[in-house]
Amino acid sequence: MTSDKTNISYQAHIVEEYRSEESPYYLPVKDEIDIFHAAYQQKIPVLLKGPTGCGKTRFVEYMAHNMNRALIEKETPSADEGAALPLVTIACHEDLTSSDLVGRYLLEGEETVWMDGPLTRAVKVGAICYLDEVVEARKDTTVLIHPLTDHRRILPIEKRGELIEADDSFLLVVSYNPGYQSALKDMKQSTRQRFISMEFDYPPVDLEADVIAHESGVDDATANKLATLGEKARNLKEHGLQEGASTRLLIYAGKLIEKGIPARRACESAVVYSLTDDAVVQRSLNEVVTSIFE
Amino acid sequence: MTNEESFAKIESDVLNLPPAVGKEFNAGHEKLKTILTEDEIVRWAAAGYAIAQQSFRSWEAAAEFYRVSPSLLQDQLPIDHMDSWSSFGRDLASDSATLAIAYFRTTPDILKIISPDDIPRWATQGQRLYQGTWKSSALSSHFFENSASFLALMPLETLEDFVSFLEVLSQKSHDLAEECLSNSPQVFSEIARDDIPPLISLLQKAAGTNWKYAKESLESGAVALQRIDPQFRIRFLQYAEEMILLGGKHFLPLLNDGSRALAAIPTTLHGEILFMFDELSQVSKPAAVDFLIKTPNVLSLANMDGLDQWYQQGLETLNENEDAGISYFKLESSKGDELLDALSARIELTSVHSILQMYGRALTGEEIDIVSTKIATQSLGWLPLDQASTDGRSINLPTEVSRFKDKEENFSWYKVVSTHQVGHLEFESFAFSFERDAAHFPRWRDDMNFETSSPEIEREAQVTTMADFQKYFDLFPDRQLASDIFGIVEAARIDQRIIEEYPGLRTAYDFIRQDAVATRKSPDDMPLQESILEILIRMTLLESPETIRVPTVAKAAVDRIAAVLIHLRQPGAQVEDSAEATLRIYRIVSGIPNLDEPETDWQDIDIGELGQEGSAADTVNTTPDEAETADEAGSSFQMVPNNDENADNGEESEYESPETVDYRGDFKPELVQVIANLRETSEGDEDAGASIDPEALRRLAEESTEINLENVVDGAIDESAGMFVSELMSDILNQSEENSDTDSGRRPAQRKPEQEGPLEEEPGSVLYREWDFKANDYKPRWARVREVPVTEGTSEFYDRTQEHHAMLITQIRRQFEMMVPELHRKEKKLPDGEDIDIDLAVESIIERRAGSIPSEKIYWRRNKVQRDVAVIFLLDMSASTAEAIDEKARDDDEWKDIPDDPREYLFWLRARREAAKRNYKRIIDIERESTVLLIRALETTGDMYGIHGFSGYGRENVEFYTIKDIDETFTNAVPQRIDGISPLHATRMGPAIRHATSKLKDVPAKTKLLFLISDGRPQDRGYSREGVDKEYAVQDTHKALLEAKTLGITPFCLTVDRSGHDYMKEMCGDMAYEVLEDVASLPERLPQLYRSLTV
Repeated sequence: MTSDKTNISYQAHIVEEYRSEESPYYLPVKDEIDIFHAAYQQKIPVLLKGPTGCGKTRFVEYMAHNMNRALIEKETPSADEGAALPLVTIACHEDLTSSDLVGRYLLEGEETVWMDGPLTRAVKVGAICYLDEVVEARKDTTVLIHPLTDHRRILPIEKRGELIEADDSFLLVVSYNPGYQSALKDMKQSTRQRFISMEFDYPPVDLEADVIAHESGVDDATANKLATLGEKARNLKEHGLQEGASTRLLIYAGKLIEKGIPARRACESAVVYSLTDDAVVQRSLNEVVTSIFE
Repeated sequence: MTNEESFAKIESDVLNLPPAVGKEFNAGHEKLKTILTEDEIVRWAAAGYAIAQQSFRSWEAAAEFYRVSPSLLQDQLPIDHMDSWSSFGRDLASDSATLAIAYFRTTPDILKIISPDDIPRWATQGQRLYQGTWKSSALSSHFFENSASFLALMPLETLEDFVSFLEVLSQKSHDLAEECLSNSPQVFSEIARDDIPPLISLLQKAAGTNWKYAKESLESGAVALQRIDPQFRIRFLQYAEEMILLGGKHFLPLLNDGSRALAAIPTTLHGEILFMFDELSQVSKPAAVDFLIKTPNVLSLANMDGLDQWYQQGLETLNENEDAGISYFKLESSKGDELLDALSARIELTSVHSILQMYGRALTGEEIDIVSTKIATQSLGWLPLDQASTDGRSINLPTEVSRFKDKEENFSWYKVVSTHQVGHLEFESFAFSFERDAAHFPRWRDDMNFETSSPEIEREAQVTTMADFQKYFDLFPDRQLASDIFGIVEAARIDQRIIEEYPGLRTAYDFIRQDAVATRKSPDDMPLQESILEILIRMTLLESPETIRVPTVAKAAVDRIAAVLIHLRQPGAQVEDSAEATLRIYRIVSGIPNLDEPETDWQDIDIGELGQEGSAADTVNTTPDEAETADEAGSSFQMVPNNDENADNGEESEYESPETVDYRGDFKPELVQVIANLRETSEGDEDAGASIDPEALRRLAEESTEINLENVVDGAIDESAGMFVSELMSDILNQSEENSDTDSGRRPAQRKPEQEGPLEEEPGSVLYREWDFKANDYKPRWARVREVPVTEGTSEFYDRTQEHHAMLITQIRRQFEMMVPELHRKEKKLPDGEDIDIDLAVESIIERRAGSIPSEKIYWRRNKVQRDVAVIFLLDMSASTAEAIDEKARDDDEWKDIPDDPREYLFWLRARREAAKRNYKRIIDIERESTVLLIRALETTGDMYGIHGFSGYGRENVEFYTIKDIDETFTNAVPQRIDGISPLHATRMGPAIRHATSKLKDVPAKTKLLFLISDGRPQDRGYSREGVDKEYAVQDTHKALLEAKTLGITPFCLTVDRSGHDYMKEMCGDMAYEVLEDVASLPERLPQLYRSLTV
């Protein structure tokens, strides 16, 4: 090293500025893009339902990136490329409190200082705010988003006594996986009914093969086999597996294969062992793998 | 006195004896005159007379003496020996004339074997056996009579040993000695001369310590000797002798079963195995015997190296603990089982069952079950034993595979076999529709017009109610042939689709196909038509560059068949394609006569070359009519005109179906389709289009070639078809009932006689192991638990109890309701949390101002603990709960003599129950009341709970009753079932606990409890009677509780047995338990306990 300065090897983004530079790859299965567009234009919050790793997050990223452009294209077909919308993603968990979302006072020296939470920032800047796995958050937290999700589009900040009106381009998107949560964690009706819902599922074998081929770079034949494996493994959902193999895992397997790992071994690491710890189920899945891959 | 005078004197004396003596005397005298001197003759005459003087009937002996001696003296017996010979006879005659007669009569034969010098030794043996009683005289004379045959088999010394054996034995039992004596010539004649002395030595030992088994020893010993390699026989007998010295009859199993085991093993291994036996017997003789007996079993699974490993491990176990070693070598320990399993190449279905089932479910996405053929044939008599098959919902696989020397190969056989059966489902063999077109073949179905069509097939009216397969097979005049061809073609299509979809299986497939071909009969010796079918099978199994033998006469036909097969091999072929292909192949094959005389002219053709010619390929796409024309033009099968052997008048034999290809198993499309339709109808979908009426089924039974009614039921076809139909219907209806309602539809447990060793699997029951504390190991598959429905009564008891305990219920409910809010607590003084606690923050700032270091713990968090409890209550429903509560204490002793015999037991039980049928409150009533109260309490908490009872008789019949299943919601049926709780049989706790554990372990709750409520010790036949057994039950129960604990389940035992302290401590170890002093307090105590355990 010639430079004696600390080498900054990571990139930090301020929430408002995080925009995906390249268009994320997304292969529409049905009319989900049109529906999302319509909802965005009508400022209706969107609920994405579907199993893990089926592409919900990718879909949101894709939409965030292409929303402006698509809108502009519709209105003035010859216009320049519109800037992507910023995307604020918040992974929800049991301990997520309303202050985590909205913001809180922090002690700084002798005084307290207010810090906006990510939701507040998204509301201010007009981003797509994506609450991933929203039911994981506690119910009192989810109630917080109610005024944002109806016609009012406001975010009350109790502690400061403020009401923030959402920017026009703000949209709340939440995701939710109806599969594995216990009945206790079901979404409240009053929350649920503030969203339009879009059901996601793993794509059909041929489409999924395309996705796998694109994302991992494997050839079509291997991608097809991986997609078949996914289909077979999903048959075991509720019969030994809590969840079917996600497209994400299949892509991982493809990526390992692309790096020269033998297919059977790659599937073992990426799919079989990731899906379950149960030895019998692992063995059964491995038999499926060895049937499909040479 | 001169010789003459003496002789005359003796002669006159002799002639005064009964005339028979004189007659022999005179005849003898005549003969001897020329040989002996006068002096000698006098000695002879005197000797005879002396014999006659011995006793009342000894003249008979004298007569025998006179009769036998002349010829003896002539050549065999030197005159010098005459005196000693006759004097022995005289002594014998003084004891018993019969003895002397036998002695004299046998002498000529004896002297052919031994020298006259040995006569005294021989005679002494006979004397030894005589002890002055008439029974002993019979024994002794039998000895003389048989002694020639003995001496022919053994030297005199050995005979002496044998006699001393008989002597000892006869002192215990004359009859037994007599039997041994009369059996022995036969027995000894069967074994080698050298083996006789050791056998006799064994007998001597046996007579000394275990005289009762002398005869068995003799017989078994002789049989045993012949089974063993000659050089080890003596050693083997020595082992047996050592065993005898231990007392008891342990040596008999060694002689019988041990030698039988050796007979089942190649003699070359005897030395090695006996060496191991020897080493083991130094440690424990019983274990050594068990080892020997089980050796063939082990060798059937593993090779000699494996046996050695098994033996070494066993020896180690034995050194640690004799009991453990014995059950190890008896193959009754898990440790031994596991090792053997690892050593053997065999794979049992039970060990891969869940893997294959899940594999099958993954492939099809349907809820298929894997069932062993053994169980499947038990419930459905028409399934073939030991062949894979499917009924469209479950897949039946053979119970074990040991075809190959390698475990992996055996597993891949299982995998291929199940993939093939799964393939029938995945690629929809049974979805055949008569209407749907094939993907690759033009449609022939409608225009098919076989010349020989039987006129019977005119059932237009019924066509609508027939399954599509029935309709399809009706097209063929020869149903059997068509069904065979379809089976082969469809299996080939399935294989093809599987390889397309699952290329990873190709290697395994190739291997197993090769193996399948190798084990098949060659077509060479078959009648012509059958050989074509065999060739068809082979074409579906082999691939180029393999060659196939084809009879030259049928080359053209085979070519055309091959063309059809190639056409079928296109991707995405449907079952309808198979049907079309079958039509085409049937056309060709049915035209070939089934000539008796095997073909002689064969050629080997590469499979790749078959069916490639243009004309052959054309047959696929033509219409039936065009094919007809082509046939006439001569492209179909034609006899070679000049071949005399195959001339038209050649004998045709009746067509026989080809052997099934083992990995493809059995395929019954017609039946499965009918069953599927029937299921649809029976499962409530009454409007199902293709409903099947019994009449159609009956037709199926009568006509389909898939069911051989002769095998299923006897009697006229007409009758048996009816029976088959009703059985099939009830089978299917039962099945769907069972599927929809797991609680009902099961038959009550049948009593079976006590078995030894691990139990067999049976439908509707689960097997559990038991812990044998003596062996310090599990006994695998030792107890069978059956879930038995509780007889539902009325809810009267429930209501009454509620009224009666109204106060208590309110109180308990209040307590339980309080539990819920207790779970919300605010935690303070945390380094981070939901928010800053103002008080703490202020305090912190004050501290800082004051100059000391402030605490950073100023946050608070609401700690929401979710109540997540699942519990199973296990009620003892044993007969002892029929005790009236006041009498309880006194009755304990009565339990010590439970009758062993099942019938006696039932009488005893009835008597007990009658006695208990008084108006007292019984323990069971208290248990029932507690259940009611508990349910009321549990319903307020929202905890998951199950209530079960258990009882049973013997390890084959542990019954498990469900009052409320853990995932069942409370309905009116539950109070009704509570009414059905009644005292039943015994208390085998271990298996019941294991069953409850298996129910509880998959419940996704944070806290899991297993609550056992009993009224005494665990007791059952063979589980706890006296002494050590009593301990067995306690230890097994302890182990079962421990197992539950390891699975994250908290066990708790509550007993109402006041004397419970002595065994509860041992049974529960460090797990919690409580002995309730007052039974009547149970209803109150139980909810309290539960509450304190779960908060």
